[in-house]
Amino acid sequence: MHTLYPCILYLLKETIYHEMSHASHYTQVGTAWYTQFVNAELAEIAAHPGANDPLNPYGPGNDANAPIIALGEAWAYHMGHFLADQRYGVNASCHIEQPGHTFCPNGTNHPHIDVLENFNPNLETDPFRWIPKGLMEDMMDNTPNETIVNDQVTGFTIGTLFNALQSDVSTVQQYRARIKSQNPVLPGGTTTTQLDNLFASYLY
Amino acid sequence: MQHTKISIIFIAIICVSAQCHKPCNESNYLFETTAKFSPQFDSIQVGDTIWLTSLIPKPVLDKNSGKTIAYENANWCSTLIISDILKFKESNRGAISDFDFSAKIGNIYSAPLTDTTNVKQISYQEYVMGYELNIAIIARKAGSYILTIPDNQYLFRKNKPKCGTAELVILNENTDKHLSLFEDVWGSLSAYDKAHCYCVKVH
Repeated sequence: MHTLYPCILYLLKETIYHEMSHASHYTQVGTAWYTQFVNAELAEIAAHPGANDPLNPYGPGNDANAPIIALGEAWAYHMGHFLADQRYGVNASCHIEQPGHTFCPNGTNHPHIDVLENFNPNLETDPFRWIPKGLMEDMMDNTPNETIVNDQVTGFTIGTLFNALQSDVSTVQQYRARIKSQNPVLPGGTTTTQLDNLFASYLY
Repeated sequence: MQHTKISIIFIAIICVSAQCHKPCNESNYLFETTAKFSPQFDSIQVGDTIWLTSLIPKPVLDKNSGKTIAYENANWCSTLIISDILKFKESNRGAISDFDFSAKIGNIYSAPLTDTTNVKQISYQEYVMGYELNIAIIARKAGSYILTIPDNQYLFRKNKPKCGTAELVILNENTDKHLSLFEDVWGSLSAYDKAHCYCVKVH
C-alpha cells in the first residue's frame, strides 16, 4: 500500500497533523475561542457550499470571519507541514497541498518546508493567500535573503509560537502584539522592526 | 470529555467540508516553463526597456506523469517582485514604482489586497498554440534591483478550481542572471531564488 499510494498516505498524515494542531490550539485557548473559530469556518462553508466554489471552505478573507480563520489556519498549516517534515524530511513523496501545491523531493530538499517557504501571499489568484501559511516557518528559519517576503526574523521555536496563541488572541495582529509582549527580547536577535516587516510581507 | 467531543466534531466537519464534497478522480499536475529578461545587460540606463518574455506551448507537459494535457481556461499567471537591493533588509525595499510597465502580450497589473509597492501581477495570454507573456519594464530611477518571478503554486482551471490543480514552475533562463549584484552585498541566495531571480543595475 505504501508503494502504491505514497501520495495518499503522505497527504493523510499531513492532514492528521494539521487537524491535531487545531486540537492543540483548542487545549491552549479553551471552548469560547474555539467555538468562535468553528462558527467562523462553518459560516464560510455555508456561504460557499459548492464543491467547485474556490472560496470553500475559508471564505474571501475580507469579512468578519477572516481574522480568526487566518490565525487558526496559519498555525495548523504550519504545524501540519512542520510535523510531516519531521516525519519524512527529504524522503517525502511529492507533496500536494490542497488545493494545488506540488513539491517533489530531489534527495536534498524538504518538500513540506518548501510548501511553507515558497508560499506567495501576493498571488492574486490564490483565494486563500490571506492565510499566512508561511509566516511561522519564516519566524523559525534563518533565510534573510528570501525574495518573496522580507524575512529577517529567526530563532523562534514551536514553544514560542504556541505560547502566544492565547484565548484573547483572535487575529494575526493580536498574535504579533502578544509575541512582542511575551518576548521583550525577541529570539535570534530579531528586532521589532524586522518582526513587523515580516508580518507586513503577509499583509498584516 | 466535552472538549474531546467538540474537537472530534470539528475535525470531522473540516475533513468533510475540505475533502469529501465530491470525488476528484484527477491527479495534480506539475508544469514547468521558463522566463527570460532581455537584453541581458548587467546595467542599463534610466529610460531603457527590459523585456520579460515567456512562452508555454500547448499541450503542456505534466512532469508528474510525463504525459501532455490540454490545460485550458486556467489562471496562467504569477507575480513579478522587484526589490531594491541596497534596501533589501528594510521595510521599503519594494521598487515597483522605480519602473513603468507595459504589456505587449498578456497583462501586468496591480491587484487589491496585495503589496503593490513590491509586487505586480502578471498573466499570460492564451492563444491557439499556447500561452504567451511579453512585458516591457522601463527603468525610471537609478539603483540596483533584484527581480523575482515565483512559481504559481495554485494553477487551476476556472471551471474546476478544486480538482486537477497544478503548480506552474517558472525558471529563469538567462545565461547570466547577474546575481552577484545581490550576492556581493548580502551573500548567497537560496537555490530557489537562484533559479527564479534576475538582477540589473540602472544608471
